[in-house]
Amino acid sequence: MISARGLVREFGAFRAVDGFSFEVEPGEIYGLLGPNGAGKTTTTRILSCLLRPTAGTAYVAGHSILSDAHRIREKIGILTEVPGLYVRLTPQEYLEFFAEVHGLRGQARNARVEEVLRLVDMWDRRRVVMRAFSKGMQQRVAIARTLLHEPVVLFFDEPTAALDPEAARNVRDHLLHLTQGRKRSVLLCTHNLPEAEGLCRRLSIVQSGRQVAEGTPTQLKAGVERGVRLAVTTTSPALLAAIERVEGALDVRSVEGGVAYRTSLPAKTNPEVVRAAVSQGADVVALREDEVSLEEVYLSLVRGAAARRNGTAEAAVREPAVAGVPA
Amino acid sequence: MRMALVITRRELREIVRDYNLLLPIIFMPALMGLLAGITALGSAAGTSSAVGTALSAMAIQQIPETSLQYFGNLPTGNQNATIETLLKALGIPLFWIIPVSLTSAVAADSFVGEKERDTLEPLLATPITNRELFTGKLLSSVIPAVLGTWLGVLLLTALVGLSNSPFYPRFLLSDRDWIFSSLVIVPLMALLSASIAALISTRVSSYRAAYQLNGLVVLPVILVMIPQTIVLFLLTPRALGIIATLVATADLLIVLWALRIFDRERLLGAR
Repeated sequence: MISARGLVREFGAFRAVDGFSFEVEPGEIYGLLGPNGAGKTTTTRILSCLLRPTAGTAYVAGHSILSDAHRIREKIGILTEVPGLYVRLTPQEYLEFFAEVHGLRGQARNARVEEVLRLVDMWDRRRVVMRAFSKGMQQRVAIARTLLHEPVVLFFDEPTAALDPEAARNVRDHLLHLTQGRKRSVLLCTHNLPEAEGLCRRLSIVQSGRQVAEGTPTQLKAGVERGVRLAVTTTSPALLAAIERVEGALDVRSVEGGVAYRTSLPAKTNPEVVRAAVSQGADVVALREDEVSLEEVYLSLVRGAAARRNGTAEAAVREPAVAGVPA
Repeated sequence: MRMALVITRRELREIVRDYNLLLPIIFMPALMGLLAGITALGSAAGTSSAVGTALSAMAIQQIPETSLQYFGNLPTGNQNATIETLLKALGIPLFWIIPVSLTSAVAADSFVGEKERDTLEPLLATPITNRELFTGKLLSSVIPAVLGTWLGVLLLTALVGLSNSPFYPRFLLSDRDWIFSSLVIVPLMALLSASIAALISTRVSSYRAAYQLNGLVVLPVILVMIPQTIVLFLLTPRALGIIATLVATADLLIVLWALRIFDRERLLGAR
């Protein structure tokens, strides 16, 4: 549904997007995570044919962004960072306008407008001029606009940022329904990491126009340093020394009931640590990894990338290796 | 064209709900019609009954007859007919200022205003073509301005009818010059102003800048009026035809140029 290859966008000397490549399959929610100015919105604008790339290309819903912009615009829905409504209109008038722009007429238009207004729980306010709406209410109307013409590819920029928890839950549920039930593709730009983790099958973490990492949440977490606790019946200096010698085991220390250490290579390091403990005669009771959140992954990657860009030593130490994107 | 009308209908709906835009569209033409109508009412008793008409009569006496014949084909043999011609020639362009002024605010806002309110991006991401978008925006500026101007002309027509002035036709709109001006030149003038303002609106970064630049559009209209006041030429039917042709040509060229340089990226501030 979306296939981006080496997208670059420059504004004068400033390179806002520097070689983004990714694929979004039918029925997939793909996340773009990154701080402000990372290039997420520019990427969305390129893919929705609002901006032309300086280099690279992309296909959206089977059409080239370079040669078939009009066809792409028929098939996409875009939710921008701000709702951007015509606030002197009512939600019904506003959606009827966009429905007609997308070629819906008469009864089909009216039925669809009612459907999306009910979906975002705004049907009861359909005849109220939007000027007095809260940001959350405006956001709901904007989401309704995005879904109105049943686009096959959706671009969502912070869709739940201004919503109350219940409305945000409804939107998330609907996104899952669109992707799982109707095989729509969604590109989700967000700072809401738990939301991204819950919704996105795959993610790109971007920083300063570059993709820092790409993969599933599990893949991304796998490369990040986390704490591990080895529960043993007794500890000894020899045990600690043996574990310190294991490749990838960092910050090894004795704690109550066992040994704690940190590792960014748990799949390789943890079995070695257990073997080392057993070889020292220790009775291993349990080995428990600390849960790594996507937020930790994100912060680790973004800080690592920033440090590397600034040429600090921290980058060399903490930059995790993540499959999919070259360091 | 259908898409353009969809945009126009949406814009007009917003204008009707914005008193800051709606009130000038009603009051400015009404005021102009009222002031011109007061002149008609004041001139009802003859040349000496109103300052304006008296001055006109005096002015005519100062102009060499050969000049009047050469420049304006004034019916100098009949003083009332001469004053009638002068009043018409000066009155008609007053109603050209109205569409030029009224289109400014709406057309200057058309693109840069949407950008400032963050409504442009969702609109540009739809399958609307540049031509449909630009046409829709132009129509939404031109239609209220023309309707407002006609309101002023209708008010003047009513007051002229009440005045029984010897210097106006009993029914103003039975005069072919007034009809031609109202039905042809007023919409063309509105389109001229709207297309320039919309063009400016696609190229600047703020509504304020667009509005300020668009103020220059009124200059050509004033350039038509000034020579008339010193009787360098008069709005004879032939002159009206020439003006209509020139304005229509300018409209066409500006609209084509605006469409040619219409750049969605620039609208979003990306260039």
